[in-house]
Amino acid sequence: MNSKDVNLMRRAAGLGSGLVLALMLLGFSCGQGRRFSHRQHLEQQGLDCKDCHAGSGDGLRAGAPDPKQCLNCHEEASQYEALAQKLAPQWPRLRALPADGKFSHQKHQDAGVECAKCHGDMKQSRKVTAANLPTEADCLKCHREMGVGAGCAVCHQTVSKTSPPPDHARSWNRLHGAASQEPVRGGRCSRCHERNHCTTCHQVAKPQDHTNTWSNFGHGVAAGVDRSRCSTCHRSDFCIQCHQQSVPVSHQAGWGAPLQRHCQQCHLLAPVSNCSVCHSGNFRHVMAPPRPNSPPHTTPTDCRACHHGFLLPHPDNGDNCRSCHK
Amino acid sequence: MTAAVKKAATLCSVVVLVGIVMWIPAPAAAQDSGASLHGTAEAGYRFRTDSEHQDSDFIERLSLQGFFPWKTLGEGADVGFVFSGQLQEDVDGKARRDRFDPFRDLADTYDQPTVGWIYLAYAELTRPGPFQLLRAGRQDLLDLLPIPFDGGLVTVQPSTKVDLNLTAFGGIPTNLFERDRRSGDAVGGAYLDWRPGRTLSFRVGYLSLRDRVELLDGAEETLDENLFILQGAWFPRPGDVLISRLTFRNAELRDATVRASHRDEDHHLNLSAYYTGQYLTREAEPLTVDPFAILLGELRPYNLGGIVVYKGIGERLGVEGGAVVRGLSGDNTENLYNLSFQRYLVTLYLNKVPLARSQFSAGLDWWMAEENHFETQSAHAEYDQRFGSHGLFRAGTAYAIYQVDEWTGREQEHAQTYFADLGIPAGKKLLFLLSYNFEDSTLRQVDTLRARVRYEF
Repeated sequence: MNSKDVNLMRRAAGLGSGLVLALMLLGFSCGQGRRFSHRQHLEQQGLDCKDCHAGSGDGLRAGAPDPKQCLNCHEEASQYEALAQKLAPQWPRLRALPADGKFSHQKHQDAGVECAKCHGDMKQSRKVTAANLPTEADCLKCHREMGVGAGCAVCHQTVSKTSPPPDHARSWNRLHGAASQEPVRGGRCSRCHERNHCTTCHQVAKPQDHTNTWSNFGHGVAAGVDRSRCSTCHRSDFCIQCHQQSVPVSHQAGWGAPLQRHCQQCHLLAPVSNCSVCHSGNFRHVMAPPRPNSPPHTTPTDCRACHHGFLLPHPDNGDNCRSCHK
Repeated sequence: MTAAVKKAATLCSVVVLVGIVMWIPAPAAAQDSGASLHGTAEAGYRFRTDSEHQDSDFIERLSLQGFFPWKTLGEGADVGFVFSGQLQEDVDGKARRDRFDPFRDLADTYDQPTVGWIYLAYAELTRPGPFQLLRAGRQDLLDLLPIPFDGGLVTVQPSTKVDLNLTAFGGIPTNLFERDRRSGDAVGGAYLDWRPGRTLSFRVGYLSLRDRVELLDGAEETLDENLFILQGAWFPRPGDVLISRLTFRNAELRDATVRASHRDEDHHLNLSAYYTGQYLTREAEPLTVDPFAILLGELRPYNLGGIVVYKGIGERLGVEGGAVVRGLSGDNTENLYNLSFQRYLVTLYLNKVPLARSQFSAGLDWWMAEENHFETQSAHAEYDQRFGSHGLFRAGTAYAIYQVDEWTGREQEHAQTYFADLGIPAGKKLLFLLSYNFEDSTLRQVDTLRARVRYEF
């Protein structure tokens, strides 16, 4: 390994480690949200959720309180009412529900679900963040535990097995692979799809571009450009199986004996690397009789100057004898 | 021919038998208790021909999964199984091994007219006692690398206070097209998932893989790979994600990936960008990790970046475009299987035009390697129309040009493909599928006809 490689690796290691670190820092710092101390209001002032979030008891949505609610306790807030109204739209718009979600706080409260079950311990909260809202996984876990159903239609107005989520539209074909690998969201696939759904498409059904021409010609081109795509499905030694058992398109019509047309491909044209894909250490070439160890064979000589009295069985006409006769 | 017919008849009988068994509805008591049994059984016939050759095959597929509550093991405990497999029968058996046959492919290259593959076959227990998951059988592991293997997997949650899951697995890697399983193959590893908050996720894992393979000269060799993987993901809000991943091989950084995507359904916008860097030369590796190294040679270090954007103009019109660029790093020079390239793609979508539940798309895709070694372009157009519960009509065409510039200047193949598919539902569970494909290339003209019946339950 030369110094350039070492430098490259060092830079790469630094870059990679930096990325992970940056991600961690970014994640922790950006999740802080808008400052508002629920702790002060709940723990120290003894307020209840419903005192500010009017919809939390019987409404469909609790949402951020109307700034006028603050006037109930903060008399001095009246001085800032106009400012509060102006700032209200800028309050963090946190939304736990998807666009087609249906949810009732009242139903949950009637079922005896405590606020903390979904929102965590708000008495310790000093900032409003997404962490105060339940995730889909939280909802499903609780629904299963309480035996109230975890089907799509329980929480969604439009999503069903025949009506996929909005993000499954349009360019989803290109994006679903990455989405399924996401640690948090990946688990959601199995809510609708069978466990073997990936296998059915990726290992059983071929991509559309895998046509007959692809099999005979195009796949080599594609493997040269981006072999990583191939490894999405192919994880075995099938390349060797096919390439050793079935010959390429060009290997017919006199490619082998008696015309030996293949020799011209190597010996008369510019050197190519294709042959070595399958023919590493070709037996016949290795076994070609060596040149006699005596003059004039030991010096650069035109072989055909002497070996012209009989027909050489070589289509290259003996121009490259030394390639095989070492 | 008689023997082939007998085999085909036997095969069909098995499929029909399986279908009948599957048709029997699960007992009402089992359904009430939360049991579920779903799957797909499909049987089909495929005929391919050009002016000189023809090929007839029967193809059967079965996917099955069942899960049943098992309360004696604990609250929320389930027991279940998953199966997925395919059987293929070469009816005419006319493929010759000693000459080129355009219809030989992965499915029938092993000197036998009947071949089958089991993709998945495992049983699992969910939340039995202190465990989160116990699984045994043929399975896919996607969390570290895509590894199919026969073996066991166990997941435990060490603490109920911290969202932490520890998973360990081990077994024999599955290489579906390997002729013989070679003794000495093994895979094992473990990984830890930690979610410190609802928007953050981290994974640390170790994977050891050993694969005994046959080299091109017939010799056998054992290939080893030990990987250490770090991954972090951040989800600041629904639709946005940032993922970073590092892979170390023998304590050296092998590759790094960063991927970010943003989705805004209100504005019909989808944006994804990524970077992947490979910093070590990847030579012969276990087939399970890189099945191409033995044939294509080493994969040299490179940097790859790409961006793909979809923007909808309302619901009916949308455009997707993207660019991907890869460059070999350092002083690595290009060869046939290590190339710097540029890829550009653009696709136009028309949704719900002229009928509801329809989509028309037309696009271009262009790959070009530097120094013009390789170039491949394709253009495609397709119309999809869905009807009924799961009926489908689809028709389209695609044009592809493969250009190889090696030693004679240019070698090109042009292929124009026309295709049409029709899926006719018969009731809620049965679907008849007919498809026809005509391919006209400079190599040959090929007709492919498929007829299938699929039962979903």
